[in-house]
Amino acid sequence: MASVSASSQTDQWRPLNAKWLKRQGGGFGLVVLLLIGLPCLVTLPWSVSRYDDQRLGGDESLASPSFAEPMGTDLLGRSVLWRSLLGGAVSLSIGGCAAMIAVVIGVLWGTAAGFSGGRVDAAMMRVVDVLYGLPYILLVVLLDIALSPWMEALLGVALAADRAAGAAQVVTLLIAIGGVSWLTMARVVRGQVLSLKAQPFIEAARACGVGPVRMFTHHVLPNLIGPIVVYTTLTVPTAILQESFLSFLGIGVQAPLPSWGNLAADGLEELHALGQPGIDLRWWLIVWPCTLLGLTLLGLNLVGDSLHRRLAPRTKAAAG
Amino acid sequence: MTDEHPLLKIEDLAVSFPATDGSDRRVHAVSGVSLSVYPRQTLAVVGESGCGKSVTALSTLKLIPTPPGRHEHGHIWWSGDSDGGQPTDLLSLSEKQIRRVRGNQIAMIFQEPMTSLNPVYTIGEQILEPILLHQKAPRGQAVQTAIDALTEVGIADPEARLREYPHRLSGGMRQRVMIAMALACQPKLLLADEPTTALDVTIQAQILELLRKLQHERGMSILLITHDLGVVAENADVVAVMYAGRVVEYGSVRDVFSKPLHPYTKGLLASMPVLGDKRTRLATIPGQVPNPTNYPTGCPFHPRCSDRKDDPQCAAEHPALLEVREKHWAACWHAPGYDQAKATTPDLAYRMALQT
Repeated sequence: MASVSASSQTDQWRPLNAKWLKRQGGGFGLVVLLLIGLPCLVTLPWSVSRYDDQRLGGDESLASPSFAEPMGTDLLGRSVLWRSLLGGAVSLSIGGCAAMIAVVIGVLWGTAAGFSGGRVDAAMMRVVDVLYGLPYILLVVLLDIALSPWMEALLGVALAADRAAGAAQVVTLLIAIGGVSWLTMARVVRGQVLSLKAQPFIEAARACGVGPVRMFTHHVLPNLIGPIVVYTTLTVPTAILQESFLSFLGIGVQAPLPSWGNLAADGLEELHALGQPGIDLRWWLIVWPCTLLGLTLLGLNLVGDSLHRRLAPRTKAAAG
Repeated sequence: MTDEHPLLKIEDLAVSFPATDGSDRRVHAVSGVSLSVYPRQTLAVVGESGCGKSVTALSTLKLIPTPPGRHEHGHIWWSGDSDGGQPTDLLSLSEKQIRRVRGNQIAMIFQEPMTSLNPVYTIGEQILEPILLHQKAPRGQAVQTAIDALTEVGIADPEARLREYPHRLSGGMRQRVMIAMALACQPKLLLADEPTTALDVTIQAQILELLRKLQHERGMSILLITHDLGVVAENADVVAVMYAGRVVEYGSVRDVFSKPLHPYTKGLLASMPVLGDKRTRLATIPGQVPNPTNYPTGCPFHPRCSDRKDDPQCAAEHPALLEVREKHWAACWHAPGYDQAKATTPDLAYRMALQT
């Protein structure tokens, strides 16, 4: 309540105020997502073959943005545009798939725990607590190391060797990130199941002779859809951010395959030029990936927030 | 009359829960409750909050979560299983078997119509659920049954209501929908757990009127749980007054209201407002319902009893439920004629079915 009244006082001079975000934030987020996501995915067939076109020597390396290279080139003369497009596809697909994996595991785990109750519930939630306590980077790295040889062999059957290595990296990374980000989802879902179980309509359904399976699929799950959808849209940006963070650290997507995270890591060196008048600042190397990543995360969060307001019935009146 | 068999016969039922104080003692929410419901009869179970009324009803459908609850002893004999063979003990049925009884032979309506309907389904889908679950009817026929049920409970324009969500209905309408749901499968017994408590007075009267009418038309029995003696007087044939998990008085509604034997029943009757009475304050029963973890020794009512509080026998020994008068049982050392109570066995099989 405090934030609402504070924002209404400042309405006159803040164009991007809370009320505007509440009304239009979701649509704005969706537009931003489509503007960034669609080109990344649509150009995938071309960007896959062009992201590593090295043009060494001459003017082609480290060229600033121009008509021929709208986003400039990097040290090896590779087009930042193509690399950003493929990097976006990699980041988005890792984020999306990891979030889906997290949702599936989290929902199953949470409902199983909430439904069984008692000791089973306690044991399952202690497992979640323990996993929460471990640093997730460690888990991701361990999973990554354990899975990647298998994945490479598996994908090697269908793809050419160099492509297989890249694809295996992406797939293991998304499995690893998905495998560690289901914990919060499990907690959220378990809490919802517990509160639903105490609802009179569940008891009424039991008194009607509804069995446990039907109770779960027809009475509990439909009431969970809202929170699950909302939480999923908020898990996608977290997963993207984790991927970028890991790639930034050099643990995630490995060169030459780009992702927004390792593109930003490459551009990071440019920051040394700040404050040193003799050296040119090649801003395009860091500004593009960071902007794209930031806008995508903003869009996803706006959409998630908007869904949350629409699907959570108790806050509906307040939002209108 | 005497060779008539009860539809439902609860025998010496005891249900316990673990004590909340952390010790491994078990608290008896209900102990030694016996009652029976005959066809076309309304049995009212009366008592203050926490005296075991709802637990008794929930046990009938095995809806008490076990664990933590536990049925210590007793039987619940059910004779409504079609062909009139031997009564089955509902407590001994498996989860799968009892599911065939729930909603089909015995239906239940709850206290809270506002929250007893699933918010994400339309009224129609919820009424259809028990029909499709228990009767192997095609969907079209089930929809017709649902429309009929809604018409019967007095909902206007039932076809349109079928497509509406519960939040669009008022409390009285929702309770009508709950009743329609309960009646859709033509149950033989309806457990009504305080069906009118959450409704305002005019709607209460309408709902009770509706239940009476349906009972008359369908010939079903009702186990009515309530704390409203006005409701009892108008609707019940037989009254079981419960206190601290036990039945303390049992008899026809006429006997219990005109000649109450147990001081608790007298207290309940005295605390009812009388229309036209000039008194400004209502009589109350002093004290509170004892906590189940800490029932007093002897008669559980003796600390609050206005009759003979200082009698050492009341504090020492628990009075059994005896037939003190013809077909009128009470559990009180000081009920007139208790010492030479005609029947020493609390045999509850006979009852008169009034107002047919």
